[in-house]
This record gives sequence, structure tokens and C-alpha cells, in this order.
Amino acid sequence: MTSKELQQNLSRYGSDLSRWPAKLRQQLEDALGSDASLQEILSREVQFEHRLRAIPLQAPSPGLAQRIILQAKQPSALNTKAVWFWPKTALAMSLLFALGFGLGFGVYQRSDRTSVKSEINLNDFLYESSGVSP
Amino acid sequence: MALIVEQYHPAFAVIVERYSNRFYAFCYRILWKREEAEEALQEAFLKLWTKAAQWDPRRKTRFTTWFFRVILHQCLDMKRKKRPLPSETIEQTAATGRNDEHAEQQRALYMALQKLPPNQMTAINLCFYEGLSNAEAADVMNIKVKALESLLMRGKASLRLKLGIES
Repeated sequence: MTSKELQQNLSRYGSDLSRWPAKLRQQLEDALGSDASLQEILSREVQFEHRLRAIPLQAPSPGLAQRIILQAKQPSALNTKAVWFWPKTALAMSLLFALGFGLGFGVYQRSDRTSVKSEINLNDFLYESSGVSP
Repeated sequence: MALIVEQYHPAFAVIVERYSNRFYAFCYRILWKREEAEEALQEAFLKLWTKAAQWDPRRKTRFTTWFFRVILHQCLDMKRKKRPLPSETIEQTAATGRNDEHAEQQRALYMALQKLPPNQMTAINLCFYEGLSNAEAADVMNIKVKALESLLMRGKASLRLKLGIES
């Protein structure tokens, strides 16, 4: 195993050799005994992983597990999506209804006005243009 | 899991108590903010409670794999919605109080981890921190094993670079 191959395998499987595929692990164990540079690469990787593990983690706030457990007990937890989904749907439906109603009323008004106008025109035609008063 | 599917709350409580710290750490290493990690974890556990029936044991997916997938989606969803952390916040969080060279390098590493592309960080998180096999991590991320290994190699290479370690 070359230095480059070892580095690649360390990136893939880590420095814990028990995680390596058996065949590769055997190859490495055979090579480690005779090649000091491979040992050096392996020990550098161990140090690198040690530093990665030392990265601090902000602890969760106290009682996190209890809060989750209690929240699941609340009836709203069973339909959390519906809680925010329905008001939005209801609002959208109301707006659509209002729009539909407004349009319908407008069309009705318009057709009503047209019919009155055509009626006047008819009166004009029937009576005024012929010089007869209704 | 069968008990949770049947909405048996004590079984859910046992799972939460047993695994919340482990899964919190996973969320934290993606979101890097306690409040957001807790929120993501909470949402994921509520999904487990309300949608446990979606986990089908006949598909041969292990519970942890399935749940890691649920949590990962929750975290990535949250990450997409939030603004990136301002650099001074990262530096404050990374501060350890020590000023020697080692502490300086740890700060640099902490910041480098936070700036890694999410898919590289997720691969490192699952394989290195959570101890999943490459095949399991690839399954969680819904990618091929080769693709996962490529993410691991690129992610670790960029972290080594930050520490001045030759690749």
C-alpha cells in the first residue's frame, strides 16, 4: 500500500482499523511493519481525529427530552401540520369566495344595466322614432 | 417501534430519553446553534410520533437509518431557511479561552467545520461522529457509497488543510 492509498483509505474508513474492509486491513497491517512512513501517516490521522473529537459541543438546554415527551402528549402534536395549514386554507378559500362573489355581482349588475339600456333603446325605437309617446 | 406505531406514549418516552442526546449532537453538528438543533430534534421526534407508521420494517431499513434520514431532512430544511452564521458569531462560539497555538488551531478547525458544505459535513457527521458504516451513511444520505467516500475525502482534506496537515 502506498502513502497516497493509505491516506485515501484513512479518509474513507478512518483510523480505527476495525472499520476497514478485511482485505485492506490485512494489506495495511502487512505494510505497516516494514514502512515507517505509513506508520507516520497513520499516527497523524489518529491525532487529526483526536482534534476533531475535541471540538466543543454546546450542551442541550436542561429538560429537552422532557419537553419533547410532553409535546407529543398534546393533542395538537398529532396534527401539527393541520394547525398551521387550515387557517391558511380557510383564508385562501374566503378570499376566493369574496372574489367570486364580487365578480358575479359585477357581471349581474352589468347585465342588468345592459338590459335596462336595451329596453330604453327599444322604447326609443318603438315610440319616439315613430313619433308615438309611450 | 411497533408500540410507537400503536401510539403507546411510554415507548416513545423511552426512545426520546435514550437517544435525544445522541441525535441532538448530530443536529448540532449540522446547524451549529443550540436553539436550532433543539428545534430540529423536537420536530423530528414529533414526526416519529405522528408518522411512525411510515417506517416499514419489511423494507429492511433499520430504525436508526430511517430516523437519521428524518432528522437530516429536518436539519437541512432548517439550514436552507436560516441565514448563514455571521463570522463573529462563529468566532465567539469557537473561543475556548486558551490562547496557545493548539487552541488557535482548534478554533480554526471549529470554524472550518461550520463552513464545510452541508453534504461533506453530513458525511463526516454520520461516519466519524456517529460511527455509521459507509454503506449505512450512504443509505441515510440516499447516495452511492462511492459518492459518500468522495465527500469524506474532500471534507477531511479541507479540514486537514486548515490544520496544516499534509494530505
